[in-house]
Amino acid sequence: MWSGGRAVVVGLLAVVVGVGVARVLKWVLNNCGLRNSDCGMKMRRGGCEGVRVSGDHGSPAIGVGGDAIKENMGSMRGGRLQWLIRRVGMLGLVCLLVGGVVGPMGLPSLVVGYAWGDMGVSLVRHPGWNEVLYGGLLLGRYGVVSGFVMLFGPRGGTSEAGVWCGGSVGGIKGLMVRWSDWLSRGVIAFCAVFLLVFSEFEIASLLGRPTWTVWLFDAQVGGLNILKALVNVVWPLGVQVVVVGGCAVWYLRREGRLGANDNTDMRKKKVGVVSLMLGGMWCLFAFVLVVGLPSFYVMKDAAKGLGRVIGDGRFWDDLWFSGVYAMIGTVGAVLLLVVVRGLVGKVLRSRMSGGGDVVIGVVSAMGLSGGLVVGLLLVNGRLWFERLTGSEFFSGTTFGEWLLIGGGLMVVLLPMGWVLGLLARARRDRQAAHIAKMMWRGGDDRGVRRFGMRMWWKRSGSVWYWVGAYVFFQGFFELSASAILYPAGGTPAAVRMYNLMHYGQSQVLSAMVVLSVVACGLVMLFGRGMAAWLMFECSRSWYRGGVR
Amino acid sequence: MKEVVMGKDEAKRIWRLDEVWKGKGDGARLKGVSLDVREGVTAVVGCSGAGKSTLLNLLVGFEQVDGGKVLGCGGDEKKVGFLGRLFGRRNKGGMVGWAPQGGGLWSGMTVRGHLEAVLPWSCYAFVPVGDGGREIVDLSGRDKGEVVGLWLKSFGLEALADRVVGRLSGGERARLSVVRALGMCSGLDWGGMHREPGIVVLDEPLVSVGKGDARGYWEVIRRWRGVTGGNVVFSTHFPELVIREADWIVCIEDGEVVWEGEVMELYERPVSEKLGAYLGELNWFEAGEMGVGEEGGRGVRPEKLRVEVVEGEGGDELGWIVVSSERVGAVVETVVRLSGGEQKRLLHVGEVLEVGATVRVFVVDHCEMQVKACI
Repeated sequence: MWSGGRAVVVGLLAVVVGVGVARVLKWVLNNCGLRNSDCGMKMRRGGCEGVRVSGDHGSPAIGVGGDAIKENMGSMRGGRLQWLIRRVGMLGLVCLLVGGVVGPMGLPSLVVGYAWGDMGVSLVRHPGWNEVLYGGLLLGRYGVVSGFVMLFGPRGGTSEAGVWCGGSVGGIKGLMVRWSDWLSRGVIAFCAVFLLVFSEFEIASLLGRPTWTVWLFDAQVGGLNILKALVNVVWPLGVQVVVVGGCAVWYLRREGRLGANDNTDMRKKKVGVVSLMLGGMWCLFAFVLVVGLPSFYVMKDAAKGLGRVIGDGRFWDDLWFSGVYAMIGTVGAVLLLVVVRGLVGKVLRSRMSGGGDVVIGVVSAMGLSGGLVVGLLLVNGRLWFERLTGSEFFSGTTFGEWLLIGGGLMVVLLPMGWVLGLLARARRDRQAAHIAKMMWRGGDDRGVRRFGMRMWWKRSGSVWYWVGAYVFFQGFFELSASAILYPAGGTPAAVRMYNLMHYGQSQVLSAMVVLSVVACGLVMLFGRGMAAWLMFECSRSWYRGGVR
Repeated sequence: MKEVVMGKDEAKRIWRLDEVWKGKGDGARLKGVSLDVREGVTAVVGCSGAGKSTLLNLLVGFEQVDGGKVLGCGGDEKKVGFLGRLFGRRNKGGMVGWAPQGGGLWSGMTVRGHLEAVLPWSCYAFVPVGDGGREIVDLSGRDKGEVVGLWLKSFGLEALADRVVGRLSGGERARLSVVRALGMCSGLDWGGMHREPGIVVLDEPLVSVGKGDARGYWEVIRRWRGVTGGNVVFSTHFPELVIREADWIVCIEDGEVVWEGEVMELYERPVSEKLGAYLGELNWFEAGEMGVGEEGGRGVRPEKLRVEVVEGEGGDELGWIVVSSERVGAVVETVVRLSGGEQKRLLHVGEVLEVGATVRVFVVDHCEMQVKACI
């Protein structure tokens, strides 16, 4: 009951703060540097000298209208260095602001729990205050998720003009239309936060708060058998299935209602100063609570312990194993979602609208039972397999062991992959992305095709990359399934750190935490860099030579 | 004046739809559509919600069929996959440009950026110059700003070159969307290498642009066609646009293709009143009326209906009595009382008639060949 009540309260509060976060994020994205994006494209494609108009036009055809164009080109002239400084400065500012807003979502729960763990233990005699601290951390962390969902997630299907018309109609109906957009965004944001809070484990465990996940983990350590675990997990699973299922039905109904011609209103709306300031203040508070203070606690000790951890060298192995397991889990989840979607599309085509999403949702729901249940099921499955076949593939070979834990992570990560996939699909510039794909697919010359590819990557591909990267990030720091499934001699970093965290903060542990966050972040950035390099630089040679 | 189009059997097919379904059951947006889209200009007409946009979305691959097949762009060959595209390969067949209803513009990018991105800078291409200038230009090494400026000028966007799309009005976006689609398909043969002509798909293009301006923009599209040999598929609600620009017409009702063929055939010999109305005003005479012996009736365009006043007394025995007559734009709408007492609305050219006059009605067949000029 604690878990459910807490999830409802935090979910509702997250919707309120999410409005402010969404406004701040929108303001940052609208006003900082994005207008220069095509200028950067121009620079790479031919340079600013490309827009210089020469007096000798060569062809009489081209000479017409040259003077008029010259006037328009005047504003484009400027030093390359000046442009570069402005561009880099803008990008830096955008990174700083966006990082500040979405930062609380990016720090692993394990790190937040570790940083506030000592404070939580000191409040053990004051459960009320401990609950406030826990709730505050959850709200700070997931309020950002709420804002993110509100900004980028599916909308109610009423355009800005429609909302205005609704407002002028008046009455209950008008009010409904006016608020339907925010209402639908609020519902989906609430559901997202509810699920995240309801299944939260790491912070609760380290702060000593009662949740069904902590209870299940402790019971498993105490020797809980699989059947009893399954019985006890029925009601939390049911709650999650209802919430996720409700969201999915709403989403699919919305998709059917809007159709493929749904397009974004690209005119920028002004954001109110008051709401912007309130949102900004909340973002600052959340950042300090969830990122700033934990980072400070961890970093001040980490500097001293870093040398010992690096010198010892064993933690590198843990990081390596974490990376491998998370990669197997992520790739597996992505492949499974793609394959299931493809198969379902083939089988159910023309028979069932949105059937693919429903089937994928049902497959993904396995992961909602939590890492512990998935882990226990897989361990029992492995024992059953060994008894049946006599083979020790999953416990005697490295590949089999990795496959087992990777498979476990895959199942646990499926719901997140599915939900993030739906959110990514709900982006509303699908027509623009498709036109870029058409250029890539059939452009008259290689320059056009290359530009189409780059534009597709910018509009669509990079979004999907970050979906995969975030799933990898979650897999890297996943604790409960990993704790049950990791093979002897292959302890993942999260499990190692969690086991040590119960003894309180230390310099070595803080250094481990910093190293793991940096390592995971570097892998994500490296992947992003590799993909961009493939798209932008390596492709240069493939697209060389003009036509064909 | 349009060029004379080839016959239905002679024209090359650019897309074939074979039993295409989008959706299921009665609520499907397309219901088993089979259709050949031929080279030239094809207009897709129908009421709102009939399935015009869905059809165009399927042609460009924006939406996927739920049943049936869309075979396209000059052949039935498979499309290049993701890896093939990554390594620079392209689909066979002509480039397809698309101007969706929403515009599909790239937010954050300037008007100039849209054109610079899509023009084929390494080969000969069509550039709209106007004033009788040469419109085939080798773009390799050419000043980009100038070429883009010419394109923008042809659609009245030159003053907005540095404006981001978020700050454009609806009409400006519509024009940019069309000019981008044309630019995408502006490449020509280069170095003896043959290119398939491009196909531009326009979903209710320039609908928010004034009629006078739109006529000028369509002139650019016509010149683009003349130079590149490109094809156009567009949806519209404007009959005069179909008559002026299209060679072929596809009529869609409730997700089904109810008529396809040459525009002039539907104009001259509409098989029903509803179909005939897709191409403008029409007088419909049921079998038996005015000596129409054809089963199911006959449609007569206003310019082919001559209404003559009969001098002298005689009333109903001589002809029909004018109940009312008023000018509605280029045509006159006259209501007459037939000999049986019932009333009929006639649309014809000429003068407004005097109420109470006795008139006779003739169908003028001899000016059939001049219909385009009359329009």
